Amino acid sequence: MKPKCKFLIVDDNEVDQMVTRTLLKKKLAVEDVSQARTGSEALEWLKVSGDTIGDCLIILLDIQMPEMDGFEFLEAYDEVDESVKHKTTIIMLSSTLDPTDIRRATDHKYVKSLFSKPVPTGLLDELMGAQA
Amino acid sequence: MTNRLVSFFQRFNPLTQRNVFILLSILIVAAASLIIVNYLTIKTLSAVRAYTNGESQYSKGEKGAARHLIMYVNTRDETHWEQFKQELNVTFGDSIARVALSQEDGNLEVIKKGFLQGRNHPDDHDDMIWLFRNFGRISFMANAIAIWKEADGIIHREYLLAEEIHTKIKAGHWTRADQDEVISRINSITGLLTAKEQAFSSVLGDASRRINGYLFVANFFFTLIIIGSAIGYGASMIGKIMKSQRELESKNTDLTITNHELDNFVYSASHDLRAPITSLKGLIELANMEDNVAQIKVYLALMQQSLEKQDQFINDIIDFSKNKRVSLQLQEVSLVELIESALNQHRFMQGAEKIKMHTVFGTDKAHSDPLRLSILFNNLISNAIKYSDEKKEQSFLNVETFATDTHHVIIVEDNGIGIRSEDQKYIFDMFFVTQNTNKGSGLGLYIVKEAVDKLGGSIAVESEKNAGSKFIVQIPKNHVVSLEGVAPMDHAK
Repeated sequence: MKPKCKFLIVDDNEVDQMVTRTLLKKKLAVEDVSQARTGSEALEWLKVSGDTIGDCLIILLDIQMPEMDGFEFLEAYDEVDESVKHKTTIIMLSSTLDPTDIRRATDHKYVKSLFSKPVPTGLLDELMGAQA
Repeated sequence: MTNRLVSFFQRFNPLTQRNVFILLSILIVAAASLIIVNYLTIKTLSAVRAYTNGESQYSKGEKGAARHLIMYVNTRDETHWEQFKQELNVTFGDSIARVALSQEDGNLEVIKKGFLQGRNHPDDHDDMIWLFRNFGRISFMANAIAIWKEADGIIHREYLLAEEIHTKIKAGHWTRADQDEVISRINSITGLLTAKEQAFSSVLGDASRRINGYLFVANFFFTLIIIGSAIGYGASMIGKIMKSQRELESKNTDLTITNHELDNFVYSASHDLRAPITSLKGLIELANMEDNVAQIKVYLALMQQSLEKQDQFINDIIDFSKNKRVSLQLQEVSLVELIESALNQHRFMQGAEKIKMHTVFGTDKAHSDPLRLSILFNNLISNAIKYSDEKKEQSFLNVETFATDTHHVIIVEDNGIGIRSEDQKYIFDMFFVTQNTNKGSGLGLYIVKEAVDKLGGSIAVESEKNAGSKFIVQIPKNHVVSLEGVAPMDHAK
């Protein structure tokens, strides 16, 4: 079994946060899940909890959020410490149909993959397996 | 230079359809006048020339006659007598024509025969008759005719003298003294006639020079009018073309922006329509794995919340579309009724039961659009309920109306969660939602702003985080339709 990763859900929708958190817990038995409601909250979390990550961190990032959306977060993420980035995988999680958004997400150097909500746990598991 | 040209043409822009029509009429009238004036003056000058020529023939005939009469007196040769009569006939012809022309119903045949006898070219006859008849009473021609008449009288005296001489010579009563006296009389008559003939020529010459002068002035004047009108017309056309080109360019820009906005709108709207569905799919997946009925009920409640959000979003989109497409229907409306109806509609909304609603109506009847007003009130009231602050002991919602000289003012005030000052300038933007809530579609206040714009009014917000919000709407009492505020399709309908 691969090392257990820590998860950070970045989503402004409380229902979706809960759904993702519960699915991770029930399907993949992931217990260590943190959450942020905006990109800026996520950055703040990385700053504060960067050294508690352990072996790996998976960020599930929504695109449309107030204040700082997913793409703005990715821009700011560039400044994050290399040691943190090295251990971090970013997966975008959205219900968008906008081809511009989809292209921006899939082409982005920090984005591993783009999934449609609700989080497809099977695909996520495969991805984590391949990475380990 | 180009700028000056543009501003020059722009000044012609006020030329309306009617003004352009007037300009064109002036152009046509001036051109027609120019043609008529030229035709008439050329005809007049041609007739004057014909008369001058006629005078010359008249003069030659008279001089020839006088010469033959003197020869006859000297030689008493009958051939000279015949030639005298023949030459004098030229002046008689003109005289016959003049007498006939002076009569109201002068016979045309007689006149033309007279002119022909006076050795005038047949092609000139019509112009000569025309000038005599139309200008006979006008100074220069009247003068000329008077002189002509006097000359004819003198010719008549000469003829009588000649007849007298002829009779005396035939009878053989001719003396040396008679001869001297007659020659002196003939010379005196010829002298008189020469003076008359010169006067006639001089009057006509003066007239023709004056006509020439008038013709030049008239030509100059009409040509100026024609050039002026043509330049005005051309400039107004160029102005119009430039104006419509500018309009076209600005419309193209508008269209590009509209298309871009439409694309944005479609993707944003589809995302917002899809988001509750994906939440629902997740909740269903969770419910499927759950055996605990109480937990399943929690999921069901969340499903309902998601669906309500979607329902609200669809309502917002429909309001948005109505507000955009339906044209303004200005009529007498009751603000009190519209506000009461909006409050009643929201009485059973989640959270509404805890809110104390209070109204103060200082104005009621307005001339405005009921659809826009109800969109406006519904959105402001539903926001006040949606964003009420549960931490507060007593939530309230106050709606107040009053009138100023020019406006109806409607104030919707609550003590809800408030809006952060840095968000306040964006709240009327499309799809803008504040951070601390999941409840908005980002359309409500955008539609409110659009509705207020269409009504020609204004909206302002005063708010403080955690204290509450106050929306102040001003609707003009006399709605002035502004072309900028209203979408073009409203007019096309």
